[in-house]
Amino acid sequence: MLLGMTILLASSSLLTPVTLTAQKTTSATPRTSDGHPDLNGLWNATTVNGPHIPSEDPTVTNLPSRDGSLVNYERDGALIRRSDTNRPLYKPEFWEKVQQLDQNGNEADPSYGCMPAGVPRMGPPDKIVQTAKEILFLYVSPPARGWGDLYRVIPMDGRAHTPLQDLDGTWKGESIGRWDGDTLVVDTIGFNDISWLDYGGYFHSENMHVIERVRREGDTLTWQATVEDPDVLLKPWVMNPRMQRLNPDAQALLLETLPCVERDLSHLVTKEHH
Amino acid sequence: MTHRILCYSLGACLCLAASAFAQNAAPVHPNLSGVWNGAVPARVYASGEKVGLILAARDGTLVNFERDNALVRRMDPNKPIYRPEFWDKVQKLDQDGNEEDPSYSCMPLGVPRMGPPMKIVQTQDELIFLYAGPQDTYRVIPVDGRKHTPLQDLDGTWRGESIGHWEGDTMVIDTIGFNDTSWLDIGGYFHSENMRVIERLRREGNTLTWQATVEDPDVLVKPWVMNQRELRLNPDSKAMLEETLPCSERDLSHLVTREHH
Repeated sequence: MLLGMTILLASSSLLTPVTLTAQKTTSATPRTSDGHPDLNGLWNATTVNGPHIPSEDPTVTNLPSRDGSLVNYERDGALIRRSDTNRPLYKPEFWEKVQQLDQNGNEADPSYGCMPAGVPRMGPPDKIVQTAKEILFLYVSPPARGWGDLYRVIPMDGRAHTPLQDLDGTWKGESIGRWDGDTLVVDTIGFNDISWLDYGGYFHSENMHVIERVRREGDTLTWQATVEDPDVLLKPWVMNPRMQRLNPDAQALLLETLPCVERDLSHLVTKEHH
Repeated sequence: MTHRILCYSLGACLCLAASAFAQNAAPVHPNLSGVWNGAVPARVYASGEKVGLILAARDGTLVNFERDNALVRRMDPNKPIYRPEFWDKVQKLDQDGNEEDPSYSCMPLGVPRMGPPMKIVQTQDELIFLYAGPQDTYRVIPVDGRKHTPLQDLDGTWRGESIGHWEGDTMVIDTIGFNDTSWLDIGGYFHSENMRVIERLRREGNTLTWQATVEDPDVLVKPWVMNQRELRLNPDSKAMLEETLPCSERDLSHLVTREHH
């Protein structure tokens, strides 16, 4: 958590990047021919032939469960995530709605019905492909991140957003990227109001605006998203940063995800949602 | 191609002089990057397929689009030829297509049924194929000279293990490692886990030709050379792919006939 806070401050340029580098690996950050950090590669991804690269991030769900096995993995993961003090703060008139959605999470959470997770819930990408004019985020989807091996195409050509009223609200929204120094900043609007930010009933409006910051230091990638949604939130939700390591196998491929089929919902006997 | 012939005809001297640079420079391959026939929010829909799914229905409207489309596709004489012992199985799967066709219950189409990509991003050592609809997904195709993983070490998947290489100006994608769940098309066209698919992509100007051949000697009498499909480059270099609505199967229990389209 201490580490995460430091990175957060650094990415908002209150500290110099040197502070961050000092804590991290000493290997230099590779750059593309146009001088920007090279984000290409597999990040924490599960691969066909290669190893699973464990996360350095204490807040993601790769956590040992109570007995060190995977038996209670989902349940314990949910408990730990629920005890995280960093939550979106809703306006009082929505407190009952959030609680109601949370209590009925198994039915209400769209990712439980094979819907996509959407931005920002889908989190950092598993693979990045970087060209001069665009950046691709490729995702493999563990069940908690919704349906499908999805991609995002993020133009880097200086274009402006389509006016919000001309956009059909989608799960991934309209993303536009730019470089802020060595930090990739991805600005996204144009969402539907179906996706959740996380479980816990954390809904949002169609006016949500998500800003993701992606920064590579050596072979570590830090992803951090901020959710602005003044229609329903008291203040922007600064999500916990997540750190990923580069897969050292340059030939590693992403594993194909099994398609989502909802078979369990009618068999659940409690409302516990994880 | 012209470039290569020219080089040979000008003699060894020039080629030797050029080779010092050639060792450092990437070979010049056709640039396949772009949005190909993609539907974009700005409604720039470039369709140039001679054989494809964009067919007028009987009265020129979209009312009977699906039904007429299926009829036209079924009349196509180019079909996979199954070994006689599988004829009953194919017919049965076809008749029960609404239940049996995996794409009717939100499963992926898989290779080769997913067809040509809507967007290609070409880098030094890989091709990224992006598909927008009926399901949004991607394929990562290494073009780095690697070999296939032995088939017995691969878990069968919908998209398989694809590896690309250039044959002159044609991109050839060789894919193995499939499950035996996906279909090749409507019509009950199943396949085995030993299926091998070879896709050929060739760009001529702003036209991309995609053609797939299915080898599956376990179930087919001979390789199935699928109809080629032609795509046009979207002239709007800023065009974006549209996000597809997620698949949600609601209709199956309401179908009153077994007609499958």
